[in-house]
Amino acid sequence: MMGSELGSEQKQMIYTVEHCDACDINNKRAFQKGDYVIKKSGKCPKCGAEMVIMSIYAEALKR
Amino acid sequence: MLVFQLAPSINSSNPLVTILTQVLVWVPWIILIFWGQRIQVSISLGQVSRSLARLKMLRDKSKQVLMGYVAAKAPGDAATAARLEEFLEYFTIPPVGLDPVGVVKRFDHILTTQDKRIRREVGEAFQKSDRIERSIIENMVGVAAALNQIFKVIRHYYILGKKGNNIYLLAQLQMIMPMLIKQADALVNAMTTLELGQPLGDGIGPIAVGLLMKDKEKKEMGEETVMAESEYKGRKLVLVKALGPEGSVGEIDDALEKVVKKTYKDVSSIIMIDAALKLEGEKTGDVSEGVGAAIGGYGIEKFKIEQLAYDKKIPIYAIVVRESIIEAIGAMRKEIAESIKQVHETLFRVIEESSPEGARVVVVGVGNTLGVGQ
Repeated sequence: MMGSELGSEQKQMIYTVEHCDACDINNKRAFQKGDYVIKKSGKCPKCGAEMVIMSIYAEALKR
Repeated sequence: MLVFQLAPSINSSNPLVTILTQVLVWVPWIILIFWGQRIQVSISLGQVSRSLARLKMLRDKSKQVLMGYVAAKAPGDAATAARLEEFLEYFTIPPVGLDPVGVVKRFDHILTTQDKRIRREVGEAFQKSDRIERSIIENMVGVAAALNQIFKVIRHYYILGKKGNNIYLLAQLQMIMPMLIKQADALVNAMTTLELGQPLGDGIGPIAVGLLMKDKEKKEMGEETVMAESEYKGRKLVLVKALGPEGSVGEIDDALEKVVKKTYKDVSSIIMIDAALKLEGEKTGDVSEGVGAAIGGYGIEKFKIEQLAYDKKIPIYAIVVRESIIEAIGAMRKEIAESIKQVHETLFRVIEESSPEGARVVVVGVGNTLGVGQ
């Protein structure tokens, strides 16, 4: 999992959100090197269709 | 003043207490009158010096991250690492503004020369790396050079202030230091974001347009820009963004000129989507709409797009996502990423309101497209 510092005081995690058009479901996971938005990222665990990365963002870790 | 009234009023039968009271009141007063400014100078010097040390640490850290990345991509290549270090001192002389006629064209030429030079150097040094890795190195060099420049300028004024005991210079430095340190912190954090190829806060425009390009046939325009055609409720959409997922802002101005003057001559409106600096108190990720060319930088692209729109009498609409400068140069935050839905809703409403069915609308996603494909 990728973690880095937000400013000097707040830690953050980077997440990747994949979407399956067929099932209309999202899968949120930790960012992996090589991920980018609108990349085909693998098979949907439910229907086997191609999932696409729709979003990559940083979220502050709750203390 | 209170102190003058207070001193004689403290009466005591013991003369020692009276003398002591007088000394306690008057000595600090005299010290402050004669050496007050010097005391203030040394306090300011101490504070600025501590901030400067932090800036130096951040500058060194950015260099370290850059050299670490370079060492991984070109192991054992000391010459390349040394050459990149030289690039941190690279400078660009802006054109003379005494005769402002044509200054934008001259500035454009100088900046294009600078970009080509850096790209060629990085390209030659990292021939085995792909486009994405090379763009990451270019971006990292830019960030490390910016930090180096900030440190050197602040050090320059610090030494000037110290030499001349210039309280006014040091007070100004003291005031801007907290904001500068925050920005420098954000730049160093951006190095990690760049290294991993994650989208930046500034990438919201390319994401908004890239998602609309998904599953459409794409056409590269020049080296760094891509376009695709789409359709929305009878309106013909021309989508333009920088070519991703490499770290680039593309040549949006040149691409727009090509679209409007050569490819399609029936463009009825241009809609630009970009990240915009928020004012303190505004919420990160808020979406607003307006008119005008939403594009940052030195103003060259903005000038060219405004001129193009004016010549062709094409209205320009803008949709912006509010964020701070620190959020724009760092990894994209959740609030910004989640604004996409609202950006698309606003975009489609603006298209419907501004263009009749059958009209052709150009939608431009402005910003750094690192970590954003199409």
